[in-house]
Amino acid sequence: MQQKHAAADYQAAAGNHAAGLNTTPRTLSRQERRTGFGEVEFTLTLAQAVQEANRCLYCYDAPCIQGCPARIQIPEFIARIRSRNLTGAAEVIYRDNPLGAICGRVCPVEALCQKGCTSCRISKPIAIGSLQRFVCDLALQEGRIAYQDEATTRGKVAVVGSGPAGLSCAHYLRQLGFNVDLFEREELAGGLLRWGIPIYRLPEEVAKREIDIITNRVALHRKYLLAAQAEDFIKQYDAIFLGVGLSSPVLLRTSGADLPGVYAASSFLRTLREGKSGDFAFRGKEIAVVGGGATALDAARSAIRLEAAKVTVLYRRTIEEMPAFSSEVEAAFQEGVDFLWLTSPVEITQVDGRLKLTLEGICLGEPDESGRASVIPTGVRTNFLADVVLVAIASQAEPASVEGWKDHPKVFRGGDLTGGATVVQAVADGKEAALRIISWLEKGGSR
Amino acid sequence: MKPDLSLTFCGLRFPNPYVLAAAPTTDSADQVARALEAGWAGAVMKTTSVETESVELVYPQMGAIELEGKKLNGLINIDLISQRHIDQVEQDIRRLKKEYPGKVILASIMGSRQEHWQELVRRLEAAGVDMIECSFSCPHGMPERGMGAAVGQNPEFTERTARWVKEAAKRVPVAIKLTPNITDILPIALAVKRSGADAIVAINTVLGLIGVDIDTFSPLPSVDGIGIYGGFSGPAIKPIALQFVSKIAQNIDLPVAATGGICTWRDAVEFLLVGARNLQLCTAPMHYGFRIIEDLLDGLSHYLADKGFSSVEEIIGLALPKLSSYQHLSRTFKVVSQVNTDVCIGCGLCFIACQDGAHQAIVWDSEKRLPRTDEEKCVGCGLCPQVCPVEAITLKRTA
Repeated sequence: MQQKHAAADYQAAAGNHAAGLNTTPRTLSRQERRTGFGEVEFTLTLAQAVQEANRCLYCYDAPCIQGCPARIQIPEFIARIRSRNLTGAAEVIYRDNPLGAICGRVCPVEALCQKGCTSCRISKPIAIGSLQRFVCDLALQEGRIAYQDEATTRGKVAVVGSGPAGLSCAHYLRQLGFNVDLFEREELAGGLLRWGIPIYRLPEEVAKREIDIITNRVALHRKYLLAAQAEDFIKQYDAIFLGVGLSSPVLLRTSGADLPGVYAASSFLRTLREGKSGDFAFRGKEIAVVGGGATALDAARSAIRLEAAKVTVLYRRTIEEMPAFSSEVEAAFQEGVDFLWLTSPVEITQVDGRLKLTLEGICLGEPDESGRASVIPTGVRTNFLADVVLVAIASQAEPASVEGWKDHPKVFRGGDLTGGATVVQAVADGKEAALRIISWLEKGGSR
Repeated sequence: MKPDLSLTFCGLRFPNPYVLAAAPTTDSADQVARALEAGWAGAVMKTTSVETESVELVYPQMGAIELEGKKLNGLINIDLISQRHIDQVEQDIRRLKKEYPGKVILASIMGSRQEHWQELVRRLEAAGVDMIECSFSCPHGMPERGMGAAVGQNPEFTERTARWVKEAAKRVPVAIKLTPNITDILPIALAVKRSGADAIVAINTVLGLIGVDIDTFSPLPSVDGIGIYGGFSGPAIKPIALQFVSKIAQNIDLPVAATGGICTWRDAVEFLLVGARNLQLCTAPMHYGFRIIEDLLDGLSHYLADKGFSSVEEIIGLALPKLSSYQHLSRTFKVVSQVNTDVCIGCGLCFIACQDGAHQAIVWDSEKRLPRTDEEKCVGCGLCPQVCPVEAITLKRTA
């Protein structure tokens, strides 16, 4: 039949009987986000989750799994939501990622699992992140996560740094029968999960629940471990995993970078996580954020929540080259963050109690060794006034915690330290390192 | 020009083929009046009985079968005949015939004795009913009392009871509604023919158990913890109804009204093509309301116009000559599956289905995420087009 009848879709519409049910989770309004740090997205309801799970095609050799650094068997957990086997769904997720509820929130799914989703070719991707979060939140809430750890008969490993990479490595080693000593210099375990990611993306209680499930099963030592102690450690342990991350911010090298009112964005975020937002009287102020990565966006969106009058992200390339993930950039736009592209501060001075940034225009050249367009200053300068400058151009490993470990065969590394850029990559690194440690020890190691 | 949707069934002119089946949708004159206003051609009033017949209902009565997000793929009920006896139905019919002279008002009856059947017929004729339908088919509740399907499962009872009704009906045609809960419909349909009744209505609901509550272990629907078998209807039973209707139309020289899983105009066309002269709907209007008649009508009308038919009468039975038996199917006809890679989205469902459920004839390119048919191995079974979510697979004729 040539003609398309509205009626022809009747059965299809009937198939989406519950389609009146929107499977997009509820989110806070722009106004709510501009006045507080409440979590932006809500957990799906059971009905929404089942409805969304029904959209999953259950692909063979599913591309979503390839997109997940932790290789969660995504179609398998989604099929279990469909049959309402929610315990089974949680088991599938936690088998490959002990930080399921955390990653369900902070994963840049649009660049990972959902990027390759087959459904993208007929409509929109399955909301894998939201579904994972739903399953894990419910399992945690109902106390259904109980790992069966093997007896500790296989040796003793030190895990240095309790960020996602260290937690993951400690978790798998413990599960597979190792004694694990986990070292963390801070009061609380979790690394970036505890002091880096703002609570509107990752509420403290969610982070705490999944972190505790791991740290309760290993020996957690509060100790700032200097690399100078490396020799002792190498003697004492069968293997060492180093997941100390990149905890030291790279500061601007322009003059005026040390003026009052110029802060490292990571210190700002950390202070907020410590619950000391009162340290920053941003209400009505104009904030400049220098950088284009996740930390810059977290800082800008946090400043918005402190009711800053104006928040501007200054980035030397364009939106195309920004290292931040697109969902973060979109959320920042929605919340009213301004962006100035192709510009870089060359000087900061104090003028009438405010900060004057001298900005130099940039044009982009041929790709550099990082593969991104190279940055060519144009010499054109403009002034930009702000009350506070938050710097988030890069971060690096703290020399004191990494130098000295050398390349001893007992030392394994992972997470941001080895170039990871996401929590889930760190989880994958930690898991992979645990397996490498085990297979290395099984082959006799070298003591 | 708009195709003529009216048709003649048992000498009665129906403005279109769509009639409400005897069901909760037709348990009051007010409901039926609203349906007729909306455009339905007629209605079979919910099955009634003599005043002395006690009808005790239990609640809840309904259950549905869910499949991957669609809740109501099939409906089960443990409802019985109407609690409104013949005295009330007589009044309904008088009112409806007066207010809607162009529409067709049918009454469905059930009795336990000859005098009851015949009294019902006489009183309905006097009230002005257009046609009488006899329920020999209610699958639950009534058979325990020797009524409903207990009659329709036995050719002898069917013929005898139909004769009583036919004897009493001086003016109006009589249709017998049959149950699918039998091994072979033909002996029953032949019994109807022998009785002299004017038409067959097929099918009533399929006896079923819709489910069991896996927390409480109660069969569903659960009446204070206890369940019974019920009558299953709706989209899920359409293939069963099509089988019965086409078999009766092919073998029995009586007009057939089809009922069982008709939800859209497409379903309607299919039933007309296998020989139905009249269509009764129940589950679909129970689900979405009488308003579905608009789509049922204009969908059918556009279909007929697109196909070049001027009236719905022209398509009745057109598929019957093409319905045969296994021995007559061609042994030389060959097809193979063919993947349109422009349409394919690379889900791999055809590959896994062929691999595990058919002939291992689809090759999977994991680099490109594309399936390809190995024509040497493909027997053309036709499983892969059924699992493809985007219509990327067709069967190509090779011989």
